[in-house]
Amino acid sequence: MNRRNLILGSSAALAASSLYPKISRASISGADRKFIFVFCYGGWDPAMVFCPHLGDGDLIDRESNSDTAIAGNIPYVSSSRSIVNDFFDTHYENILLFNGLEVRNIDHWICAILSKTGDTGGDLPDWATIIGQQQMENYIIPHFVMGGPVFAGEYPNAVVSSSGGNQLYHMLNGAFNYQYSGDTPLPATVAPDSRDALHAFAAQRQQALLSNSIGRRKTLLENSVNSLNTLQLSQPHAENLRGGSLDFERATTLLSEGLVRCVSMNHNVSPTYDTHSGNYYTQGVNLTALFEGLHELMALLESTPGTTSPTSSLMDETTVVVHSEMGKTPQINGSSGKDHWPFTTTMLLGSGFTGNRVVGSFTGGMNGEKVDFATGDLFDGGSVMTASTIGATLLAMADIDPGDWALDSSPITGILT
Amino acid sequence: MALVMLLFSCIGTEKTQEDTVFIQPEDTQAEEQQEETAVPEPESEPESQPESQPEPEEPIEEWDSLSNIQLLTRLSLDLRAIRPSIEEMDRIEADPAQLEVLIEEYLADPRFGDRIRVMYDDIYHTDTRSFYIEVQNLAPPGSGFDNTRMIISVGEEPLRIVQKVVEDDLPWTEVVTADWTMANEQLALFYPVDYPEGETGWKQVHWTDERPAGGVFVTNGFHNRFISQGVNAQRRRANEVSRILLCDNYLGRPIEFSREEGISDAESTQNATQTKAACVSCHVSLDPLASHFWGFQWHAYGVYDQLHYHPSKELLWQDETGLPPSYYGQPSNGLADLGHLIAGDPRFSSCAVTQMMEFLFQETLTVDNTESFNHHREAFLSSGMRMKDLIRSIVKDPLYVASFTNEQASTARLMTDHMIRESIYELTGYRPRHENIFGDQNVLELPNWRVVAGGMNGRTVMSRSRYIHMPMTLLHEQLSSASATYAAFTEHALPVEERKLFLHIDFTESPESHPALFATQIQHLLYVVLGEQVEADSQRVTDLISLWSNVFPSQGDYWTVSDEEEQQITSWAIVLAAILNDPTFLIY
Repeated sequence: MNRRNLILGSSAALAASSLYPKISRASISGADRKFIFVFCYGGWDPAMVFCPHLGDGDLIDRESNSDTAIAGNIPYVSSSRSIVNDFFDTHYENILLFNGLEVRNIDHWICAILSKTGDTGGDLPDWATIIGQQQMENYIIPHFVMGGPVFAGEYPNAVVSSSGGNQLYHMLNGAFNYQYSGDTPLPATVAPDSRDALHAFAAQRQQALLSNSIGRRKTLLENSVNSLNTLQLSQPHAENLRGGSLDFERATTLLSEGLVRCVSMNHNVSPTYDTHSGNYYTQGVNLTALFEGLHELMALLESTPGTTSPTSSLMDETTVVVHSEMGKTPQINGSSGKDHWPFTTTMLLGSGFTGNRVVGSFTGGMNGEKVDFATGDLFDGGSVMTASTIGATLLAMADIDPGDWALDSSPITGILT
Repeated sequence: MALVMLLFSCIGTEKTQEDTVFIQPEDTQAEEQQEETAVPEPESEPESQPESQPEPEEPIEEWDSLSNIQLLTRLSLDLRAIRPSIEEMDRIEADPAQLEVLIEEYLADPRFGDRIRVMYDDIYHTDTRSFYIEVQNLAPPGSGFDNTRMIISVGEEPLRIVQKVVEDDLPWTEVVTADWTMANEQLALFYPVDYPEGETGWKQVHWTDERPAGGVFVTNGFHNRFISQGVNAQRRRANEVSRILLCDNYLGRPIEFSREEGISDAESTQNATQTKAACVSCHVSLDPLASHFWGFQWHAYGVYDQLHYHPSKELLWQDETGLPPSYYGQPSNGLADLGHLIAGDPRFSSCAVTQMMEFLFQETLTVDNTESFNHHREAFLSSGMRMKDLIRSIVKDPLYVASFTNEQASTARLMTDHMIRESIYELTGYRPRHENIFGDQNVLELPNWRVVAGGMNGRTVMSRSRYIHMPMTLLHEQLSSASATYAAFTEHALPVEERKLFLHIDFTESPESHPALFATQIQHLLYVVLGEQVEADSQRVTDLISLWSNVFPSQGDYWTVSDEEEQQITSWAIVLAAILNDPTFLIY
């Protein structure tokens, strides 16, 4: 019996206790690694934080008060935002930057699909879903989406999305409370016993139908069975299954309780990072909020117990991927903004990689430099880093063979621990 | 017939699987290669086509078919978003030849138009309900201005044109050549159109701002959804025209950026689009297409800029890109020519056929569909590009009618969000509404709720789920419970002759006192909700009677009911909920 079935079999007991027994492990394997994905929709400007001044040949427009600072081995852009300096100074050992990543498109949506799946179609599962479904048996919700784009591909049952709001939360709490306003008096609530009876009846029907189904109908019925199981198992955790932007407390709770392997969220801001005008101001406001949140996240990862041993923390077990679907043009446009650009930065935080490191680099025209994937060092004869490179690397960190996923890039093995 | 297969770069972004092809008949190649200097006529001149339907042809391949009721259910859901009525199911059971009659009735049903409109939003992505148009303080007092309806209506405008073209059986070319648009009294408050004074509702109207004819791509809904300002130079709008009407999404093409391009500002970027090979491959056709749209350039939020066409800006391309309007190498005199150029492009009709086949098959077309595609395209063209005739052809395709148990082609479909909400409403009368700062709206039409039900919101979720996921299961369960409760209590208050669901009981019986009535009532519910025909003594009926008996005693503990009769009503509500919540309700 796998862990999911074990949980399903004792769901009544679990309803009384939201904490699962921790599995004792001596060390963290890739299969035990957890992930948080923080997406910054709109295309952030790497020149505001990640792309330091490059000296001669630097054509990149930056804020007037910015300069290059160094935290450990990581050069970054220092400006009036002290939170960024504090963040790098405090956490550089758990930070890795991929600079000069190429996304090969300049449309927000296509780039969002690319950055999460390595493909432009939207039919393939995203990295978090692939990683989550690999441990389907051990997590009630392998991939929970608090916000932002999600691509489930052929693994809809590995993903539960709050759909950008709290619809899921309200429904799990039995509050589909958009009642009609007619004259007929209706009961105020659904009887819990009745709901259980409905679940049991549906489960019985599913099994009866499955026994004589084939093809697409069978696939859909299997989806239905798995969805109902997930629904029943999720019910006791309804309070934490909310949408949210940078809601790291809830995300770490879900990870620590062993309910979820991957959490995805969007940094919801208005205006977004799509700064065709007023680039410095809006990017500055957004990045300040982002780094304040990430600062809090790092503290939570340090202080929150992990699930693999009594002494481990989530910091030991979690990789945080902070990314945006594209970058910004090197130079400012006529509206004090910057436009879409196909080279950007992805930042890793936490563990599972060699921290205190920058892989790749921007040129003075803000293109990306090639990298030797075996070492992670710059190398003219190396390869271009793309979204698929990041995906392949994340899969490798999760103990998944990237070769099984037909990606058009190999992982950067030089940063794996 | 030999075929030309253009690989992924010629088809939309949702179609990137390796086996995805754009299917194009051989006889269109020559047309594509023509370098005509004049604006061509539409590929198939609609006005000259006979009104008769295409000659019936031999079936493409013989497969096991769905049962009559299963097929009728599929047709009814695909064409009306609701399940067939009992009367319709009885008709086809009594006489299978009624299928042809029922298809025609469905195509004439007002809900068919709604279905078409909602269906095409999967491609158009304009019904996002998130437009920003500053009109709130401009509506005349007493005008009946409703900001929510206004915002919804802007997004619906191009979709209403599609609906009108299909409903009225107009040639599909009208979608890109119409000199009219659709507006209601809300849009008429601000749109420059000849909407009849004092009237209400959606009407066919004409622009009064010198806007050239162009159907959907000259609508305010299109241009406010796909804003394309600044250095984007109308390219986004051009790409959306190509994506929506030609199934050719430039943004689906991977771009190899050279590190030596030296494109660091707007000027060098613009230069690269005309000189660097990696850029030119797309921009050589995209940018001249974009040059058609400068009349929609606006500089600030406001009714005048956002909702009016500006003939004086048509030549702005001279300053912005320097590229005169043209259509894939064919000269164009501007926006007024564009609709005819698109209508004359063989990709336009192929795209229409592909889109409708993918709607009705719920699958991305592959090379395996080539024969079928050619068959339906021929039917479409020979009808003068009438969408109803295309639909008539597709619903007779063996792949459309193949049974669930066919080893070669299991054809199960998954209900769309539109079908879920409309079927529930049709069966129970339940339509959840929610009043908030955005006004009183149907909850299940709100973009985020569409996503919960497996649909898309047009902004961040751009393709619908092909699978059942947990939130969909949860919504299905809660919607079933809420609607069943509503239906049971509502029908309880009605005389039997006015009821639709609870025809055989008066909510006072028990399984012990009236076993036959219980069985009959459950048989009826299974038939009307799921099209299931079962015997009174079947296990299916027995199971549902057991459910009633199991939940009846618990009602008094939890429900705010005052007497045993109300407990019985709620128990029947749970039986109905269990039937509505059946997995086969979503799979058709």
